[in-house]
This record gives sequence, C-alpha cells and structure tokens, in this order.
Amino acid sequence: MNDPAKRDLLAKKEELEQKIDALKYQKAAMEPGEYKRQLTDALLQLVTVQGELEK
Amino acid sequence: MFLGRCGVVLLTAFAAASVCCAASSASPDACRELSRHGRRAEASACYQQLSQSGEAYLRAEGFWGLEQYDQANEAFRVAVAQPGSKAIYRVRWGLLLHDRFNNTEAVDLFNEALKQDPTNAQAYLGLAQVSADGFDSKATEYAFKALSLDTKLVEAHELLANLALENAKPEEAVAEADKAIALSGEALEAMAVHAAVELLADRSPDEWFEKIHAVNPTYGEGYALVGYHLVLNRRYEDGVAWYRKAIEADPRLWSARSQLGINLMRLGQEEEPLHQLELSYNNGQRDAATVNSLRLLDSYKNFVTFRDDTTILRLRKSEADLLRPYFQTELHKIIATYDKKYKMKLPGPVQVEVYPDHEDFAVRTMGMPGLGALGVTFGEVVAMDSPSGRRPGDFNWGSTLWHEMSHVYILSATNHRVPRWFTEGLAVHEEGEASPEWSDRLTPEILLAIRDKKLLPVAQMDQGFISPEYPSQVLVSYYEAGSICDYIKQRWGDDKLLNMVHSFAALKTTPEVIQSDLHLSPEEFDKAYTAWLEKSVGQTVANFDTWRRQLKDLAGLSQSNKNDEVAKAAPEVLRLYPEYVGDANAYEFLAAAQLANGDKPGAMTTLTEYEKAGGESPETLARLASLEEELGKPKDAASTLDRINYIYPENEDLHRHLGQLWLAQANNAGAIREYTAVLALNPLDKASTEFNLAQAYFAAGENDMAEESVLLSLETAPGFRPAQKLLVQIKSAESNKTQTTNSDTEKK
Repeated sequence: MNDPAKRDLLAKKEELEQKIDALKYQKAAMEPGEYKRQLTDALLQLVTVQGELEK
Repeated sequence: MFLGRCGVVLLTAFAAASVCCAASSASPDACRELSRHGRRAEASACYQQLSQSGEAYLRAEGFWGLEQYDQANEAFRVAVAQPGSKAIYRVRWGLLLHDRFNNTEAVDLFNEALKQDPTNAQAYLGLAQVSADGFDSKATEYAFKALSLDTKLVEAHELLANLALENAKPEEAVAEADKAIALSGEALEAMAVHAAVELLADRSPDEWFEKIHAVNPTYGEGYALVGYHLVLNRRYEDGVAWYRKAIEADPRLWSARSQLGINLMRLGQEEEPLHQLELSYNNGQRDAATVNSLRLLDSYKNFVTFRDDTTILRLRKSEADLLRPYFQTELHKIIATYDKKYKMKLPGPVQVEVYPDHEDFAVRTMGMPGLGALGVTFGEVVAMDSPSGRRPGDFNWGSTLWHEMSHVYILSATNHRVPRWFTEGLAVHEEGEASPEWSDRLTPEILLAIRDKKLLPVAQMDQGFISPEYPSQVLVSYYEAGSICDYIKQRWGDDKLLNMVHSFAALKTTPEVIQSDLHLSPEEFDKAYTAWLEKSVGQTVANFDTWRRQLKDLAGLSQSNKNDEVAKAAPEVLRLYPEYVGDANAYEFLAAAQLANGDKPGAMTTLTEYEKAGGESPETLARLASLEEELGKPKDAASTLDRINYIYPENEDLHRHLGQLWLAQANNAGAIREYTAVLALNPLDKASTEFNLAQAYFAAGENDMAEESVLLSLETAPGFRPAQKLLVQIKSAESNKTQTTNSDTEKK
C-alpha cells in the first residue's frame, strides 16, 4: 500500500473493529446504556472511515 | 400396575397342604357382599380367608379383594390351567385384567370363556364393559346379549343405564337403572345413575344418595360416577366437586383421585393435580391417563407462560418466540369478535396451551369421547396441538383456535349446559365465518354419508359424537352440526343462533329449542335442513362415482405427463366436485399441466380456486404466491403467504419473503412481525435479519427499536454497509427531531 492516507484509514478501520470486538467481550460487564453509547460511537466512526476508504 | 397373563410375577409358593382350613367358611360372593355394604374390616378378613384357600380360583378372588393384584393374577393363571376349570374363572380373570388396565388380554379371556361356554352371560358383560371404556357402540350390543342369556343380570342393566346417559338419553338411562333396582334393591350403580340424571338436569340428587348411603355409606364410586357424567357433559368444575366427594367417602378410591387430578389439570391447575396423581400412582393406579398426566405435568418445566388482561398463553420454550406474536394477536382478534357477536364478556382470562408434542396434547383428551384430534376446551382452558407437531398442511392452528374459542364462549354462556352437537356445530360454523376457506370441508366420507342417508336427525345428533356407529361418524357429525348452524344462520339470521344458546342455557332440550326458537318440530326441521343440504350439495353427491372415476383417469394422465389432455379433462373433474382439495386433487394436476405448458396465468387462476376451496398444502400455496408475485400481484402474494402462516409458520424463507413484500407495501407492522419470526427461527444470517427488522421499525417510525436492531446487526457484522447507512439515517432522524423539539421550545 503506497498511499499513506489510505494506509492510515485502514489502520483506523482495524483499530475500530478491534475496539468493537473488545466492547462485545465487555458487554456483559457494562451498563447497557454505556455499552450502547460506546458501540454507536465506534460504529459511526467506522462508517466515516469506510466511507473515506470507498472514495 | 399393568398386569398381563404372561407376565413373570414373583410369588410366594402356595402348597395346598399348608393352606388353612378356615377358608371353607368364606366364598367370593359372601366377601363381595360385605364389600358392597362397606363393611371393610369384615370383607378384608373374608378375602384373607379366601387367599389361604387350597383352591387356586378362591385364592385369586381373595388376593384380588385384598388388592394384591400380582398374586391374584398368578392364582388365576393356576386356576385356569387346571383340568376342568370353569369358564367363569376366565371371566373373572378377564375382569381383574380389565380392572388393572389391560383390556387387550381381558378381551382374549372373555372370548376364551365364550368358546368354553357360549352361553356365558358374564363373559358378554365383560366384553360390554371393555367396549364401553372406548366409547365403542358394541358395548350396548354385548350388554343386550348378556341380558338375553341371563335376564337377571343386574350389572348389565346398570351398564346400559350408564351407556344411555353417556349418549344423552336420560329417560332410557332411568328405565334401565329402574330395571336393575327392580332386580336388586342394592343396585348401587343404578342408584348413582339416577343421581347423575338428577344433577345433569339441575335437580337435587339427595334422594338417591340417601338410598346409596343406606346400603353403603362408603360407596365413593357413586359420587365418582356422577363426576364422570358431569365431565362428559363438559361441566368440569362440577365434576371436580363430585370427585372430591368420592374420595371423601372413600379415600382409597384411587381411580377417583386420579380423575380429580386430571380434571383439575384441565382447569389449569398444577399443584393439587400433581399431589393427587402421585398419590394415585403410588397406590397402584397406573393406567395410561394417570401415568401420562404425570408425565405432562413434569414436562411443564419446558413451557413458558405469557399473561395479559384477557389471555394466558402457555407455549413450549423452544417455539415461544416464534408463536407468541401470532397466537396473541389472533386471540385478541377472536375475543373482540366473539365479545360483540355473543354479546358477552368472558368471566376471566382464557388459558391457551399449545403442545408441539401431539402425545402431550392427547393426554388432555384421554377418556373423552369424540375426535379431540386438534384442540380441546375445558371451560376457560384450551389445549391444542402446535403447528410444529403436525405434518405441514394437516392442521390449521388459526381455524382450530377460532373453533375452540367458540366453545369457551358457549360453555360460559350456557353455564356448561349445552348439547355437544350444538357447541360443536356452532364452533365449526364460526371457523367458516372467520374465513370462508376454513369452512368444514365436504370430504369424500361426508359425501358418502349424505348419499347413503346416514346423517342423524337433529334430536339424536349427540350420539354421532359420543358413540359413533361407523368409523367416520364423528367427522360426519361435525360437518352435519356445522352445516345445520350454517342453515339456521342463512334462514333465520345470526341472532337466532344466539337465541338458541340462551335457550340451551335455560335447560331446554334440543327438540324444545328447535320448537321454541325455530317454530318447527324436530321432524319438520330435519326435513327442511335435508332439502337445503340437497340443494347445496346434492349435485356433488350425485356426481361422486363419476368424479372418482374421472379423477383416477386424470391422475394417470398427469403421471404420464400428458399435459394437454390433463388441461382438457381437469375442468370437468373440478366441476363434478369442486370442494375436493385433498391428496391428488384436480386443481394441482391442472396447475402442474398449465405450468408445463407455460400457461402461468392459467395456473395462477387454478391455484387461486384451490386456495378459495380451502386447499392448505403449504408447498402449493407457496407456488401460488410465487406466481402471483411474478405476474405482478404482490398484494395477493403477500396475502397467500400470510395464509400459510396459519398452517405452517415454521418456514424461515416464508417469513423473510413475506417481510420483504409487506415492507414494500408499507405494511410495516406486518413486516416487523415477519422479521421477528425469522429471528425466532435462529437464522444463520442474523446480521441481515436484524437489519431487515431495523428497516421495518424505521419505516414504522419506531426509531428506538430500529436503532436496537441495527446495532444488533452491526454488532455481528460491523462492516455491513447497508446497516451502517441505516444507522446514520436513524441518528440523523434522531438529531433532526431533537433540533425541531428545541426550536419549538425556543418559540414558546
């Protein structure tokens, strides 16, 4: 991958996906409202990153 | 305890030499006489003496009287093996086996006794008793045969009295009971039949129980017999009260205790039934009804109960998520319809139990006459099969629920005083009112019964349900009773049916109701109904033989793929008998030929006719839905798929497809229900289904639910683009709403 911007976006995407995975593992121990807020935030960031990648 | 003739039973060896000589003073008749008078201790001593006899037959009677059934069984085996053994030994052994729930071998023994002595009245009586257990009409025949051989056989008159009362013929019951009493002033069962007749007519039975008490104050069987007839007449709560009296009189009457438990279960209870049934079982009452009811109680741990103001729904956990929305919605629809139609409200919530295992459901109907094949109603409790427990296409849970719920209303409206034919007829009629395709089907056996003039006069219709005289008579009776109600509605209007309900509640008999409400004698009614039926189905009846021949030829043509010939011949077969939608029907042959010839519109028309005639094969209806969609009729396709939901709602693809159709047609509530059903079936692709459900919620304006579902979708597949886009849309709608609200607040 030669495009550094794209490389950054891919790294960000991977980071967000890992964050979502980690959240899922913590779900049972988290307060439901907090889980939903953090999951939604991560997902909306992921939407933006994926959108950038698709441009 | 289930005794058998060939069962291996460990016994104490009895050496003739060691038997006590005291037995000489006792005889089976003398011991039974003591029992009949409730002199238990003396009876027990008497039987004790017999059990020590050197004669195997006497020992058998002794052990039987002492409730040592295995020993009695073995002693009978020895008795009949001896040279010169009497026919009565086999009869008595048969009665022991009948008593211990083994009717098959009991019948063998009665027949063997008759080979030995063809004039043995007791053997015929035994056969009558076994037949009566299964509501077999041969019971009467055998009882009369027994009486022809022994005119003084009190028990045969008592049995005939009981059978007459089972058949809703109280006058005959009383006449037979009186014959028994004339032969013996101590005919306790005959007196109990009298008491039951009084109670069924809402009169006091006290006079008869006083007579019974004078003979035997501990005769619990009398109360149990009354309880049995009350239950048979669908008076379950009254039946329970009398079974309680039975065990109060005789706490060791395990059969009555078991029936008490079973009938309490029918009223929706669990704790006391468990106690009563366990007690009965532990004391040797191990008949199929007791054992299976205990198993059913044990299986309740696998069920879940949902309650609201008007319904209590019990579903098996594994299918509760799928079925609950359909059943609850339908129940509320039914309650709203019947509240209005019957101009009444039920006194409390109705409990509906849905059994995916047919055997569990069958336990509920054990010992009850009639079909009971699909559903059964006990007051405000309905038990029915689950669609998952039957072959797809065999069962329509929707029509069954409408049918059973009609019983709930009619039983409540009449305080359970309604003849079986009328409540069944009205329930069948209501199925057709709910949906014309659910009208009772004119099957070949019904056509044949009409052709052979086997329909019963209205005044005798209960018999067709309780003691059928030919295999399909129960089915035929359902049809006849239903079409009688159709006829009454057509000629006199809906209100007349309701008037009849009220007349039955006022304890009028069928002939009285026909006379007072329809102003016809029962005979005039029969004549008018027969003429109406003839006009309605007479031509089809006349066509039957021709139809059968032509259908056979059509099946041959279809099998040989002679599609042009099928397309040519099928319309005539359909014209001859359009109501036939069973196996190998002309609709499906014709549609297959039309499809093979590329005539999709023709096939769609044919299958629409099949659907209207009540065809319920899920595959065939799915084919119709697919043609409707392909030919630009998505609304019809959705409605056809929705019809399958009432037949077999276990198909994931059906729900998904119907969800798509309804979403496209803006039936958002319908789409939500269908996608929820897909999820309940644990689809492999959960992310897509949650996304579909989120779309439906979003379209319905339920943004919170939409967000929940889309998050569940993305939680499984975070990169799923359509779901991501929907999440953005939902959040954006949420943000717009917040801005609008803020701006409104500022303006204020």
